[in-house]
Amino acid sequence: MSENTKRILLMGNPNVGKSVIFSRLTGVHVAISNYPGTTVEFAKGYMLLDGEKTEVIDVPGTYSLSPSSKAEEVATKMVRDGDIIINVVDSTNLERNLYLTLSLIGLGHPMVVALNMWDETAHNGVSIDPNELSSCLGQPVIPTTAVTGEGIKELAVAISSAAAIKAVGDQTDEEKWSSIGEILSKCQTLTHHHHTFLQRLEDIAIKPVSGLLIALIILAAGFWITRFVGEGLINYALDPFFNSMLSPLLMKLSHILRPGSLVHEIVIGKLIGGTIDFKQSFGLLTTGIYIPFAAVLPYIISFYLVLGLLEDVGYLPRVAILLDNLMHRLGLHGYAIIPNLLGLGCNVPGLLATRVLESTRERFIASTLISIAVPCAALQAMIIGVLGERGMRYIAIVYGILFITWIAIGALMNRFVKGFSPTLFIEVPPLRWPSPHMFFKKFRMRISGFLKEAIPILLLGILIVTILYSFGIFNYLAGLAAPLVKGVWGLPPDAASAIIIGFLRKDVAIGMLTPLSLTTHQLVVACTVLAMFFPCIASFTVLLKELGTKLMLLSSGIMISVAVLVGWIVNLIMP
Amino acid sequence: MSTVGNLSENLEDYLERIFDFVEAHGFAKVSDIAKLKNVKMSSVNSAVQRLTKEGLVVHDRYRHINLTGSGLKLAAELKRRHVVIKDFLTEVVGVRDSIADKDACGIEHHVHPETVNKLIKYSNECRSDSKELIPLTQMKSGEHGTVKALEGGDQFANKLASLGIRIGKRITKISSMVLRGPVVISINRRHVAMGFGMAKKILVETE
Repeated sequence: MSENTKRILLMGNPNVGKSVIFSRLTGVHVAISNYPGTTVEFAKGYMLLDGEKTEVIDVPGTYSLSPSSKAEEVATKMVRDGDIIINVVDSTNLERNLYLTLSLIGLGHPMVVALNMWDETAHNGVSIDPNELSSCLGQPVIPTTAVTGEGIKELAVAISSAAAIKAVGDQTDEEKWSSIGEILSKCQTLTHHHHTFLQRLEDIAIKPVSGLLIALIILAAGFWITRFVGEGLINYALDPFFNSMLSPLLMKLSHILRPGSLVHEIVIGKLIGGTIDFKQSFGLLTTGIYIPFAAVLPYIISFYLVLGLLEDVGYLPRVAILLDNLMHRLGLHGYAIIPNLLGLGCNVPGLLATRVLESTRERFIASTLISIAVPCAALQAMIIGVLGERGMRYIAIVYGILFITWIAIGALMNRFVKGFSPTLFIEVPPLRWPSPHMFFKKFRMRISGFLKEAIPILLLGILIVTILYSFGIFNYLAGLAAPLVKGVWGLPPDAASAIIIGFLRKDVAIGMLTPLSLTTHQLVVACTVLAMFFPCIASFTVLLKELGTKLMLLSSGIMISVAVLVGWIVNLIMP
Repeated sequence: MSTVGNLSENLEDYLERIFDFVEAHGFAKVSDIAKLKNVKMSSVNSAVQRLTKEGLVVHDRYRHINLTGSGLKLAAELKRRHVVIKDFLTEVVGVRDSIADKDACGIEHHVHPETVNKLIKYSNECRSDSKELIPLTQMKSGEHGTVKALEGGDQFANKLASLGIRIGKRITKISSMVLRGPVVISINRRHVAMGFGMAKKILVETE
């Protein structure tokens, strides 16, 4: 890469559609949702500008150039290194957005203003004259509807002709607001508009009684759809495929490799009752593909269908408002529920999303809570798969224990972690009908992300299990861990191996419990301990990066103590 | 010589700035204060040390500064004086906002409590014909109003302005959660949610 590659920055307030424009300009897929703070780290892509490869950066949203959260800090630091700025502006909320625009103009970079969400102006009773606005600001102004791609070509043309402007010097805030007032009176007319169906829904979704009712309905529906789709895929598509199509093929392979040989152990694993048992054989081609594709993938699919829908509609910040009171008891404010909900899919994006929180204390508490008591979709899928056979209520017990722990640990950290938690202060995005195109793009991105990142580690985990078993290393470790595993949790010493593998991937770890033929009591204890004990390697890496060594060690210490303690209590009191 | 405690004017000023940050973010940072006051970090550090010695502020291992109970009381009293004097200057005397703010900063350190009380009484008499202001938390859902005053410092005002809430803006209250939960308002045809403590400091004239 040559030194003088130009760099374009996409900047604007949170939730104005910077990421959609980014993805339109560069073809790079990034997560796009309808709530402020979706982008917490900058994304980089390239576009051709006058035949030259130019770097485009999707900068996290910010309201001003003086940051108030870690995500905003990223944004303000980036400004210095940009050559051209595309200032993305929400056309339906011009007044507030122009504050940042004027601050950016003050910097003197060549700039283009994208008047995004242009399609929404009409039904909001907003009418803007882009030409007038352009002459007021002294910058090219292009109306865009990024979701449909309207105006993107014109935007690209405008970027290539954007020229440096003379820095006007920074105005004071008072001066800025008075110029904004002038600009608006010239360029924008507001007319009365009737509330649409969604706008009426917006109002009732944040009233105490109706809001709670709606939240409960959505929660119940979300659970039901997740289970229905997940179970449906397993029972009617994947299990039949694995048992009647794949199993005979693999049995043939088993004969060729001869059971008992090392290659057979690695590829097929153990034969259970003379045949392949996808849940217990533990070979690369048996359990190694059954866990990701047949046990976990269905729930990843169903979970992200539901979450993606809630994200794109813009419902999640409303949950934050409803739960603000509860979250304050845990040392957080309501918005921290969003990282926790994302953690239910995969802890990694959940941990990254804690960057929207303002203080180190909140980030520490939220990250620790997610790592301990928010089970990712892969872990949940396996718990449902393994424990479901013993009865639904045992699954409910594990979830109940995790939830109580989440509350209890949060309350304790609120009491003992020093520092301060600010109050909730958020923009609530309008409810929108999701764009199917955008919805499925994000969905595909998440599914392929799971397959690409999870499967290599998962196969490695299965391989390590086989190798450690054949060399008797697990037996040795089991002996060492027996006082804890058997003495405190009442589990067979062999379960120690599952806990060790849990560091690589928790789904494989839960899978390792099946061959141990545990009692239901033991299974509940084991699932709880595995869920809490230690984050998988991927989350661990993020935790280290986000919290730093010292806080990460503290967080890990809390995790291990809680897992040991809760496992012990459950073992004691559960009949 | 100050009339509230035995702090120097300079230290009182630091205390107020810390109060502003604590209000806006829940804590203050040395670097933020240095930037705001345009002084070296070392000056802030020594001021914070002296305030700590006086038992007015504490800081934790993240170098976040917060006020102690007595620090909060003193800062709130100073702030109250500031607001009273500023309001008197702007509303009764008719001084421009930015000048009134500057003068209030100077006067507040020297004024006797009795003078403050008399000023409040006098200002109220002058204002009695205009409508009474109520905090956002006391507005009813569905009621419209105009933001008239913010009970906080520049930091607080800036934070509110980032989501469009400024003096003179018309707002509609949408809802408030039970048990001192967050308040949701509509401003610029957008919903904004804020904690109860924050909403309490926004004074509104209802229609």
